[in-house]
Amino acid sequence: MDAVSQSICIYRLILDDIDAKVTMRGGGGLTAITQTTDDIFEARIAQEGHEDIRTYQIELSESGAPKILSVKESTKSY
Amino acid sequence: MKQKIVFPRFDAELNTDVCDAYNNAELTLTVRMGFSQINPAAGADEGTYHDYGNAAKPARKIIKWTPATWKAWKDTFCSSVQAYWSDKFWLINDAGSFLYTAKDAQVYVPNVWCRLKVVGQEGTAANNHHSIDVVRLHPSVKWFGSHEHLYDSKDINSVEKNRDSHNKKVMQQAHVHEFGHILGLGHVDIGKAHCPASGDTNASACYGVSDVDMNSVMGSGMQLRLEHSAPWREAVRAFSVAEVFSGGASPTDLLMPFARLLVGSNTLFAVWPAKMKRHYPRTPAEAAAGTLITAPPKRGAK
Ligand SMILES: [Zn+2]
Repeated sequence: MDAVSQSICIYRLILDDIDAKVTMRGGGGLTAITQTTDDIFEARIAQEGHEDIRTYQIELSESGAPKILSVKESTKSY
Repeated sequence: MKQKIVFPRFDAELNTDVCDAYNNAELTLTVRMGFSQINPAAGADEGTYHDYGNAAKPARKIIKWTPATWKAWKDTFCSSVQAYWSDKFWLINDAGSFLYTAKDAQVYVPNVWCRLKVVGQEGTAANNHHSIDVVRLHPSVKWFGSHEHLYDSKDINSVEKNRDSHNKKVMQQAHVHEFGHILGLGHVDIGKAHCPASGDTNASACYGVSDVDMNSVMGSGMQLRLEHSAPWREAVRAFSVAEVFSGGASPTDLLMPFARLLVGSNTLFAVWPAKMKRHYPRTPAEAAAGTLITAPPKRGAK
Protein backbone atom coordinates (compact mmCIF):
# COMPACT_ATOMS: atom_id res chain seq x y z
CA MET A 1 0.00 0.00 0.00
CA ASP A 2 1.49 3.38 -0.97
CA ALA A 3 1.56 6.29 1.46
CA VAL A 4 -1.38 8.16 -0.05
CA SER A 5 -3.55 5.04 -0.15
CA GLN A 6 -2.65 4.23 3.43
CA SER A 7 -3.54 7.71 4.71
CA ILE A 8 -6.84 7.71 2.79
CA CYS A 9 -7.56 4.38 4.42
CA ILE A 10 -6.83 5.82 7.89
CA TYR A 11 -9.07 8.85 7.32
CA ARG A 12 -11.89 6.58 6.10
CA LEU A 13 -11.60 4.46 9.26
CA ILE A 14 -11.85 7.59 11.38
CA LEU A 15 -14.79 9.01 9.40
CA ASP A 16 -16.71 5.73 9.71
CA ASP A 17 -16.02 5.61 13.43
CA ILE A 18 -17.27 9.19 13.92
CA ASP A 19 -20.40 8.48 11.91
CA ALA A 20 -21.14 5.40 14.01
CA LYS A 21 -20.24 6.70 17.47
CA VAL A 22 -20.92 10.43 17.65
CA THR A 23 -24.45 11.05 18.88
CA MET A 24 -24.46 14.83 19.34
CA ARG A 25 -25.24 15.66 15.72
CA GLY A 26 -25.99 19.41 15.83
CA GLY A 27 -23.37 22.13 16.15
CA GLY A 28 -20.77 22.93 13.51
CA GLY A 29 -19.92 19.36 12.53
CA LEU A 30 -16.50 17.86 11.91
CA THR A 31 -14.02 20.71 11.36
CA ALA A 32 -10.63 18.94 11.38
CA ILE A 33 -8.78 15.63 11.38
CA THR A 34 -5.10 16.18 12.02
CA GLN A 35 -2.18 13.78 12.24
CA THR A 36 -0.25 14.74 15.37
CA THR A 37 2.36 11.93 15.48
CA ASP A 38 3.15 8.89 13.32
CA ASP A 39 0.24 6.89 14.64
CA ILE A 40 -1.99 9.48 16.39
CA PHE A 41 -4.82 11.37 14.67
CA GLU A 42 -7.09 13.95 16.24
CA ALA A 43 -10.66 14.65 15.03
CA ARG A 44 -12.49 17.81 16.17
CA ILE A 45 -16.25 18.33 16.17
CA ALA A 46 -17.41 21.89 16.79
CA GLN A 47 -20.19 22.48 19.33
CA GLU A 48 -21.46 25.61 21.10
CA GLY A 49 -18.82 26.61 23.65
CA HIS A 50 -16.59 23.62 23.05
CA GLU A 51 -15.07 21.09 20.66
CA ASP A 52 -15.43 17.35 21.12
CA ILE A 53 -12.05 15.79 20.38
CA ARG A 54 -11.56 12.15 19.44
CA THR A 55 -7.94 11.00 19.51
CA TYR A 56 -7.22 7.85 17.50
CA GLN A 57 -4.25 5.55 17.84
CA ILE A 58 -3.75 3.69 14.57
CA GLU A 59 -1.86 0.47 13.99
CA LEU A 60 0.26 0.87 10.87
CA SER A 61 1.84 -2.11 9.19
CA GLU A 62 4.00 -2.25 6.08
CA SER A 63 1.71 -4.60 4.22
CA GLY A 64 -1.66 -4.91 5.92
CA ALA A 65 -4.50 -2.39 6.18
CA PRO A 66 -4.42 0.10 9.09
CA LYS A 67 -6.56 -0.58 12.18
CA ILE A 68 -7.92 1.61 14.99
CA LEU A 69 -6.16 0.54 18.20
CA SER A 70 -7.86 2.96 20.56
CA VAL A 71 -10.07 6.06 20.72
CA LYS A 72 -9.84 8.64 23.50
CA GLU A 73 -12.56 11.27 23.97
CA SER A 74 -11.82 14.71 25.35
CA THR A 75 -13.22 18.23 25.32
CA LYS A 76 -11.74 21.64 24.57
CA SER A 77 -13.81 24.43 26.12
CA TYR A 78 -13.84 28.01 24.87
CA MET B 1 -41.97 45.12 52.71
CA LYS B 2 -39.41 44.97 49.90
CA GLN B 3 -36.00 43.62 50.77
CA LYS B 4 -32.96 43.27 48.57
CA ILE B 5 -29.92 41.00 48.73
CA VAL B 6 -27.09 41.37 46.21
CA PHE B 7 -25.64 38.10 44.94
CA PRO B 8 -22.70 37.82 42.53
CA ARG B 9 -24.92 36.52 39.70
CA PHE B 10 -28.05 38.61 40.31
CA ASP B 11 -29.82 41.03 42.61
CA ALA B 12 -32.68 39.44 44.51
CA GLU B 13 -35.74 41.30 45.75
CA LEU B 14 -38.36 39.80 48.04
CA ASN B 15 -41.68 41.65 47.95
CA THR B 16 -44.18 40.82 50.68
CA ASP B 17 -46.31 43.94 50.04
CA VAL B 18 -48.26 41.91 47.47
CA CYS B 19 -49.20 39.22 50.01
CA ASP B 20 -52.84 38.72 50.93
CA ALA B 21 -55.14 35.75 51.50
CA TYR B 22 -54.57 34.63 47.90
CA ASN B 23 -51.28 36.11 46.77
CA ASN B 24 -47.82 34.87 47.69
CA ALA B 25 -44.59 36.77 48.22
CA GLU B 26 -42.71 37.54 45.01
CA LEU B 27 -39.02 36.85 44.66
CA THR B 28 -37.55 38.65 41.65
CA LEU B 29 -34.03 37.97 40.45
CA THR B 30 -32.69 40.82 38.34
CA VAL B 31 -29.86 40.13 35.90
CA ARG B 32 -28.21 43.06 34.13
CA MET B 33 -26.90 41.89 30.75
CA GLY B 34 -24.26 43.94 28.93
CA PHE B 35 -24.36 43.78 25.11
CA SER B 36 -21.57 44.82 22.72
CA GLN B 37 -21.61 44.63 18.92
CA ILE B 38 -18.95 42.89 16.86
CA ASN B 39 -18.87 44.38 13.36
CA PRO B 40 -16.78 43.68 10.22
CA ALA B 41 -13.35 45.34 10.35
CA ALA B 42 -12.73 48.89 9.06
CA GLY B 43 -16.41 49.83 8.88
CA ALA B 44 -17.09 47.40 6.01
CA ASP B 45 -20.59 46.01 5.45
CA GLU B 46 -19.30 42.42 5.35
CA GLY B 47 -16.38 40.59 6.90
CA THR B 48 -15.50 37.43 8.78
CA TYR B 49 -15.17 36.31 12.38
CA HIS B 50 -13.67 33.07 13.69
CA ASP B 51 -15.53 30.44 15.73
CA TYR B 52 -15.00 31.04 19.46
CA GLY B 53 -13.09 34.24 18.49
CA ASN B 54 -10.09 31.97 17.89
CA ALA B 55 -8.01 32.73 14.77
CA ALA B 56 -7.14 29.03 14.33
CA LYS B 57 -10.80 28.10 13.88
CA PRO B 58 -13.05 28.46 10.80
CA ALA B 59 -13.94 32.02 9.81
CA ARG B 60 -17.62 32.75 9.23
CA LYS B 61 -19.14 35.54 7.15
CA ILE B 62 -20.57 38.36 9.26
CA ILE B 63 -22.40 41.58 8.44
CA LYS B 64 -22.65 44.97 10.08
CA TRP B 65 -25.30 45.58 12.73
CA THR B 66 -27.78 48.37 12.05
CA PRO B 67 -29.37 50.33 14.90
CA ALA B 68 -32.72 48.64 14.19
CA THR B 69 -31.41 45.04 13.97
CA TRP B 70 -29.28 45.57 17.10
CA LYS B 71 -32.17 46.90 19.14
CA ALA B 72 -34.49 44.14 17.91
CA TRP B 73 -31.94 41.45 18.76
CA LYS B 74 -31.32 42.73 22.29
CA ASP B 75 -35.04 43.17 22.94
CA THR B 76 -35.77 39.63 21.72
CA PHE B 77 -32.95 38.24 23.83
CA CYS B 78 -34.21 39.87 27.02
CA SER B 79 -37.93 39.26 26.47
CA SER B 80 -37.57 35.62 25.40
CA VAL B 81 -35.22 34.74 28.27
CA GLN B 82 -37.57 36.42 30.71
CA ALA B 83 -40.62 34.68 29.22
CA TYR B 84 -38.90 31.31 29.51
CA TRP B 85 -37.49 31.58 33.06
CA SER B 86 -39.87 33.92 34.87
CA ASP B 87 -43.08 32.98 36.73
CA LYS B 88 -42.54 29.22 36.37
CA PHE B 89 -41.81 28.11 39.94
CA TRP B 90 -43.47 28.42 43.34
CA LEU B 91 -41.41 27.58 46.42
CA ILE B 92 -43.39 26.02 49.26
CA ASN B 93 -42.68 27.83 52.51
CA ASP B 94 -41.74 25.12 55.00
CA ALA B 95 -39.66 27.56 57.04
CA GLY B 96 -42.50 29.56 58.52
CA SER B 97 -40.84 32.70 57.17
CA PHE B 98 -42.40 36.01 56.11
CA LEU B 99 -45.65 35.51 58.06
CA TYR B 100 -48.21 38.28 57.60
CA THR B 101 -51.70 39.13 58.77
CA ALA B 102 -54.12 39.73 55.92
CA LYS B 103 -57.18 41.98 55.99
CA ASP B 104 -59.31 39.04 57.13
CA ALA B 105 -57.20 39.14 60.37
CA GLN B 106 -55.86 35.70 59.54
CA VAL B 107 -52.13 35.00 59.71
CA TYR B 108 -50.77 33.45 56.50
CA VAL B 109 -47.62 31.63 55.50
CA PRO B 110 -46.86 32.87 52.00
CA ASN B 111 -45.27 30.69 49.40
CA VAL B 112 -42.80 32.36 47.08
CA TRP B 113 -43.42 33.04 43.40
CA CYS B 114 -40.19 32.98 41.39
CA ARG B 115 -39.81 35.84 38.97
CA LEU B 116 -37.01 37.07 36.71
CA LYS B 117 -36.18 40.45 35.27
CA VAL B 118 -33.56 40.75 32.52
CA VAL B 119 -32.24 44.25 32.01
CA GLY B 120 -30.31 44.90 28.79
CA GLN B 121 -27.68 47.63 28.87
CA GLU B 122 -24.41 48.66 27.23
CA GLY B 123 -21.55 46.18 27.53
CA THR B 124 -19.40 48.95 29.04
CA ALA B 125 -21.70 49.52 32.04
CA ALA B 126 -19.87 48.86 35.30
CA ASN B 127 -22.69 46.97 37.01
CA ASN B 128 -23.38 44.24 34.42
CA HIS B 129 -23.78 40.78 35.91
CA HIS B 130 -22.81 39.22 32.59
CA SER B 131 -21.52 40.72 29.34
CA ILE B 132 -21.59 39.32 25.83
CA ASP B 133 -20.22 40.35 22.44
CA VAL B 134 -22.48 39.53 19.51
CA VAL B 135 -21.66 38.92 15.81
CA ARG B 136 -24.37 39.33 13.18
CA LEU B 137 -24.14 36.34 10.85
CA HIS B 138 -24.48 36.65 7.09
CA PRO B 139 -27.81 35.04 6.00
CA SER B 140 -25.86 32.23 4.26
CA VAL B 141 -24.14 31.15 7.48
CA LYS B 142 -25.85 28.32 9.31
CA TRP B 143 -23.68 27.98 12.39
CA PHE B 144 -21.07 29.89 14.41
CA GLY B 145 -19.05 28.65 17.40
CA SER B 146 -20.30 30.72 20.33
CA HIS B 147 -19.22 30.71 23.95
CA GLU B 148 -20.47 32.30 27.14
CA HIS B 149 -19.13 35.77 26.26
CA LEU B 150 -19.41 35.57 22.46
CA TYR B 151 -22.81 35.06 20.84
CA ASP B 152 -24.05 35.12 17.27
CA SER B 153 -27.27 36.65 16.02
CA LYS B 154 -28.77 33.19 15.44
CA ASP B 155 -28.26 32.04 19.03
CA ILE B 156 -31.80 33.19 19.81
CA ASN B 157 -33.23 30.85 17.12
CA SER B 158 -34.34 27.29 17.78
CA VAL B 159 -31.81 24.89 16.23
CA GLU B 160 -31.18 21.16 16.26
CA LYS B 161 -28.74 20.31 19.05
CA ASN B 162 -29.03 16.54 19.09
CA ARG B 163 -31.08 13.48 18.10
CA ASP B 164 -32.79 11.23 20.63
CA SER B 165 -32.87 7.43 20.55
CA HIS B 166 -35.81 7.55 18.07
CA ASN B 167 -33.79 9.84 15.78
CA LYS B 168 -36.14 12.69 16.73
CA LYS B 169 -34.58 16.15 16.60
CA VAL B 170 -33.86 17.76 19.96
CA MET B 171 -34.14 21.52 19.45
CA GLN B 172 -32.85 24.33 21.62
CA GLN B 173 -32.53 28.11 21.73
CA ALA B 174 -28.90 28.54 22.81
CA HIS B 175 -29.46 31.77 24.73
CA VAL B 176 -32.13 30.21 26.97
CA HIS B 177 -29.68 27.42 27.91
CA GLU B 178 -26.83 29.90 28.39
CA PHE B 179 -29.01 31.98 30.67
CA GLY B 180 -29.35 28.91 32.90
CA HIS B 181 -25.56 29.04 33.32
CA ILE B 182 -25.75 32.78 34.05
CA LEU B 183 -28.20 31.93 36.87
CA GLY B 184 -25.69 29.36 38.16
CA LEU B 185 -27.09 26.11 36.76
CA GLY B 186 -24.82 23.38 35.37
CA HIS B 187 -25.33 20.78 32.65
CA VAL B 188 -27.95 18.11 33.26
CA ASP B 189 -25.65 15.09 33.62
CA ILE B 190 -22.96 16.60 35.86
CA GLY B 191 -22.12 14.11 38.59
CA LYS B 192 -23.01 11.02 36.58
CA ALA B 193 -20.29 8.51 35.69
CA HIS B 194 -20.02 9.76 32.11
CA CYS B 195 -19.70 13.40 33.25
CA PRO B 196 -17.69 13.61 36.48
CA ALA B 197 -17.85 17.01 38.18
CA SER B 198 -14.04 16.93 38.36
CA GLY B 199 -13.71 16.75 34.56
CA ASP B 200 -14.66 19.19 31.81
CA THR B 201 -18.40 19.51 32.31
CA ASN B 202 -18.78 20.91 28.78
CA ALA B 203 -18.17 17.42 27.34
CA SER B 204 -21.03 16.40 25.07
CA ALA B 205 -22.05 13.56 27.41
CA CYS B 206 -22.82 16.19 30.08
CA TYR B 207 -25.67 17.50 27.88
CA GLY B 208 -27.66 14.32 28.60
CA VAL B 209 -27.35 10.75 27.35
CA SER B 210 -30.87 9.44 28.01
CA ASP B 211 -33.74 10.93 26.00
CA VAL B 212 -35.22 12.51 29.13
CA ASP B 213 -31.98 14.22 30.16
CA MET B 214 -31.15 15.27 26.60
CA ASN B 215 -34.44 17.18 26.50
CA SER B 216 -33.68 19.22 29.64
CA VAL B 217 -32.96 22.90 29.02
CA MET B 218 -29.62 22.30 30.76
CA GLY B 219 -29.06 19.48 28.26
CA SER B 220 -29.82 19.89 24.56
CA GLY B 221 -33.54 20.64 24.77
CA MET B 222 -36.04 23.14 26.10
CA GLN B 223 -37.67 21.36 29.06
CA LEU B 224 -37.75 23.13 32.37
CA ARG B 225 -37.37 20.97 35.47
CA LEU B 226 -37.97 21.50 39.18
CA GLU B 227 -34.24 21.50 39.94
CA HIS B 228 -33.88 24.61 37.79
CA SER B 229 -35.51 26.55 40.62
CA ALA B 230 -32.17 26.34 42.49
CA PRO B 231 -31.18 30.02 42.01
CA TRP B 232 -34.45 31.18 43.60
CA ARG B 233 -34.19 28.64 46.40
CA GLU B 234 -30.68 29.84 47.17
CA ALA B 235 -31.97 33.41 47.32
CA VAL B 236 -35.06 32.65 49.41
CA ARG B 237 -32.97 30.82 52.01
CA ALA B 238 -30.83 33.94 52.37
CA PHE B 239 -33.94 36.08 52.98
CA SER B 240 -35.36 33.50 55.38
CA VAL B 241 -32.17 33.34 57.45
CA ALA B 242 -31.79 37.13 57.31
CA GLU B 243 -35.29 37.49 58.73
CA VAL B 244 -34.29 35.51 61.81
CA PHE B 245 -31.05 37.44 62.32
CA SER B 246 -32.74 40.80 61.81
CA GLY B 247 -35.25 39.93 64.53
CA GLY B 248 -38.18 39.95 62.10
CA ALA B 249 -39.08 36.48 63.26
CA SER B 250 -37.65 36.59 66.76
CA PRO B 251 -39.30 34.31 69.33
CA THR B 252 -39.84 37.48 71.39
CA ASP B 253 -42.03 38.92 68.64
CA LEU B 254 -45.42 38.83 70.31
CA LEU B 255 -47.40 38.88 67.09
CA MET B 256 -46.07 35.76 65.44
CA PRO B 257 -44.40 33.24 67.72
CA PHE B 258 -47.24 30.74 67.97
CA ALA B 259 -47.94 30.70 64.23
CA ARG B 260 -44.29 30.36 63.43
CA LEU B 261 -43.71 27.58 65.94
CA LEU B 262 -46.67 25.75 64.49
CA VAL B 263 -45.08 25.66 61.03
CA GLY B 264 -41.86 24.33 62.45
CA SER B 265 -39.85 27.51 62.04
CA ASN B 266 -36.66 25.70 61.11
CA THR B 267 -35.17 28.30 58.83
CA LEU B 268 -31.79 26.62 58.41
CA PHE B 269 -33.09 23.21 57.44
CA ALA B 270 -36.13 24.25 55.44
CA VAL B 271 -36.28 22.64 52.01
CA TRP B 272 -38.45 25.17 50.14
CA PRO B 273 -39.77 22.45 47.76
CA ALA B 274 -40.35 23.76 44.25
CA LYS B 275 -43.58 23.34 42.30
CA MET B 276 -44.48 24.31 38.76
CA LYS B 277 -48.07 25.23 39.59
CA ARG B 278 -49.46 28.08 41.68
CA HIS B 279 -49.78 27.11 45.34
CA TYR B 280 -51.84 29.51 47.46
CA PRO B 281 -50.77 30.97 50.83
CA ARG B 282 -51.60 28.77 53.81
CA THR B 283 -52.68 29.38 57.35
CA PRO B 284 -50.09 28.19 59.90
CA ALA B 285 -52.37 25.24 60.68
CA GLU B 286 -52.56 24.26 57.02
CA ALA B 287 -48.79 24.62 56.67
CA ALA B 288 -48.21 22.54 59.81
CA ALA B 289 -50.45 19.80 58.41
CA GLY B 290 -48.51 19.84 55.14
CA THR B 291 -51.62 20.81 53.17
CA LEU B 292 -50.91 22.11 49.68
CA ILE B 293 -53.51 24.43 48.15
CA THR B 294 -53.61 24.55 44.37
CA ALA B 295 -57.21 25.73 43.87
CA PRO B 296 -58.36 29.18 45.03
CA PRO B 297 -59.34 28.56 48.68
CA LYS B 298 -62.34 30.02 50.51
CA ARG B 299 -60.99 32.81 52.67
CA GLY B 300 -62.43 35.72 54.64
CA ALA B 301 -62.47 39.29 53.34
CA LYS B 302 -59.31 40.40 51.56
ZN1 LIG C 1 -24.04 24.82 28.52
